[in-house]
Amino acid sequence: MSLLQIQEPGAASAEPVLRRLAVGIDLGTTHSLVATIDDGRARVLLDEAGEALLPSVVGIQPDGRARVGRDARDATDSPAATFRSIKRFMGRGTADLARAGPMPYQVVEGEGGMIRFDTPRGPLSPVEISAEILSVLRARAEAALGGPLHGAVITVPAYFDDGQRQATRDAARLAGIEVLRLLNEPTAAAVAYGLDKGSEGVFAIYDLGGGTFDLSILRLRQGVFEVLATAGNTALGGDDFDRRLADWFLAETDLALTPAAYSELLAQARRAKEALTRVEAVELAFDAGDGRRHECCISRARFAELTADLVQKTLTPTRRALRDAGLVTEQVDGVVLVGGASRMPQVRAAVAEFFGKPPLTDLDPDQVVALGAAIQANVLAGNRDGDDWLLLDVIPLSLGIETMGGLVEKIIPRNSTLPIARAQDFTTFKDGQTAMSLHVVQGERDLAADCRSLARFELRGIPPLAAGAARIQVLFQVDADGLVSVSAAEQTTGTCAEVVVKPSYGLTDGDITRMLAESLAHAQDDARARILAEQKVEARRLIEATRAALNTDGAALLDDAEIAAMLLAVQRLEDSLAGSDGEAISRAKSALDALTDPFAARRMDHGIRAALSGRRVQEIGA
Amino acid sequence: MMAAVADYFAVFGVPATFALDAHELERRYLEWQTRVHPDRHARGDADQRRAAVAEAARINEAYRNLKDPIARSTHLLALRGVDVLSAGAPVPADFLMQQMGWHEELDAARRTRDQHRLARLADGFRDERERLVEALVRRLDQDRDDAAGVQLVRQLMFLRRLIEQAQAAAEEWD
Repeated sequence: MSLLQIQEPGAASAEPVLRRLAVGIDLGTTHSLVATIDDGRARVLLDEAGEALLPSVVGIQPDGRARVGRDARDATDSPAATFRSIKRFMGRGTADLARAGPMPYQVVEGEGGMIRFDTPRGPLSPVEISAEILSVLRARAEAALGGPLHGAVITVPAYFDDGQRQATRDAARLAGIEVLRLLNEPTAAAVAYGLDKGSEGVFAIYDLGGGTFDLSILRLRQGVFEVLATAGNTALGGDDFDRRLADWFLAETDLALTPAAYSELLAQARRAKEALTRVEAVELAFDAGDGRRHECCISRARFAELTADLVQKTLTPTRRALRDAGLVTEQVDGVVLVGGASRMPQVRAAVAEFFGKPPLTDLDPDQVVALGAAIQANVLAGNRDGDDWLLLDVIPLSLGIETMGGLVEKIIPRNSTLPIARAQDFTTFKDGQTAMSLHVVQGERDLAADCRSLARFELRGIPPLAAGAARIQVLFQVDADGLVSVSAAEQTTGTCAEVVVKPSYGLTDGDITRMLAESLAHAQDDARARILAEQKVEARRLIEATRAALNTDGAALLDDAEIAAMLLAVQRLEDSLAGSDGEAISRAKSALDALTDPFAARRMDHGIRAALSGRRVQEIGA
Repeated sequence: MMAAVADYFAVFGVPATFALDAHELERRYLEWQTRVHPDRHARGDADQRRAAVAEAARINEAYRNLKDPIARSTHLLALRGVDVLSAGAPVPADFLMQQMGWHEELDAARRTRDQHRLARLADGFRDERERLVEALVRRLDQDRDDAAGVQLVRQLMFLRRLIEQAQAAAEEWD
């Protein structure tokens, strides 16, 4: 291991800095964005239509190709192959599906309880579907920046566990994106705000997204962003408000709907919810397909009543985060709102009341996370433009190990600052015990069964000693991305076992390599097919031109043997076009070219002479 | 095989005493992290980045141990060769009695869902914690009475458990 080289603070690096193209990506539940640093300022990148938000919707079409974004969202043809809110399934197993509620997708159980959905392309995991979204954003970024990406910072909800983080990183790898960092969404928002305002102090980041809620407390001081605490609810978001409104509508109108009609009603409810941020009341109208149109008027106040408990539910993690940070509301200098759902007036009012001050809303809550990620990406790519700041993030959920009786021994408590390396000694339970099985879990509950299982591994070759005599040191390491690795060693003999924690529902490195190879192979197939098609078009054009030239000038400029040779070459090229051997087509075309080139030269001369002599030139050149 | 105890005070170059200037410690921690954090070495080679992770983790670990009074006193005693968990006489009977009394009050407050009683109890726990911390400064720094220090650290541990339970009760009502 090399010694760490420490640069004097403020001393400029001597090497000339080549700018590396780096972006921040907000891979959201309902929509995703990509942003970059341009002229020292963060800005989001737009698609050709000038839109910043890419709906996180992926439709797998009958031919297996993916349709991503607005087109996929607005399509109504194949709900079973149109994946919305896929983020909810990242790093999750089939056992978690029960909590997700009804959905129109067919689930194929993968190995080890991994979720795979049935699609026209075959079974696809949430990771592969998310990779489609990331690929579109990568293409958008490369088109806008004019070159290949060096890497990206991708944001995740602060409350994502190790499995969900690994899944996100895997999706990026599949999309061919080098992940510079997985950054917590609220932290990214704080970076965007803190640096924008240049203010020091304690910030609370209230992030109500489509499907998740996070609250983080950060302090900015001495140029260091320190995450003090984070808490959240991974099953609470703007979607719940839509559902509340849709269910109220059904109760008011006494309607019963098919799942497809219900998802249409949900879309209407979402539009009504958004409209209520601007107006006091809206009409929610729905055509139930029975020829009748049902309408209900909903006021802002009534909507607030219907969703009061949802708003209150966000305050529970808020209180917990403040307690974990050891702070009271008066000590919070600013509250930042993130996520489209934070636009709802009842949410803003509740936040203002809870913290005793109006929230900050200068930056677009939909964009603020991507902007912060772009700022961090710029730093990690080494393009620091004199910004002297640092981000210290925390692990959101405690890490522990299962002990006797299924209890959890916590090794790293939640909200510990990253990176972390911590060792804990364990011992044997029986006399002569030579192996020990270790079960690593993440979560706050006392029973291992109630926590998320991260990994199981065995340490063998422990010297047979009396119970309690062996010293097994388990070393937990968590890197700056919040990703976990665990190793164990018996101290008296040095017997070692090491695992990089692979989430129970994640992809193995082998899976990733195979998928990358497949997509690469497909890309090569695609490229080969395109080249072949282009060759055939070229060849047909040459055949046509040769025939036309022979008809016009053949008799005048060529002898019989030359004409016969040329016709034979045309025939051979035509024969090669029937197959799909690019090489053969290329050879046949070259042979014909060799004959037609002198003919073309002769026709050129002939044409020029004809033009000089005033004759009309009908055609020149093959 | 007892591994040498890493000296967390030395990591930040602050004196190995229980009483400690929290602001100075924090200032040094942030300054150290600003230099060694892996993000500051993102352009380094794989070895340098690994070394940065290890060094940043070491500084985090040292800071965590010095920030918290229980961890700090346990560490200080370990440096003096005293293991808090195995050393010395059992916790005095009067403290155990007081503890049991607190637990009963906490249970009662939880059963009756009496928020005011719970808040009063939690305030009392925090006052007691302050008292114990002040006593630790005297015992560990002035008297150098490690045996008395061990007793106080254990009492702090009991108290921490009580404070956590009071917090958990408050969370149940959220």
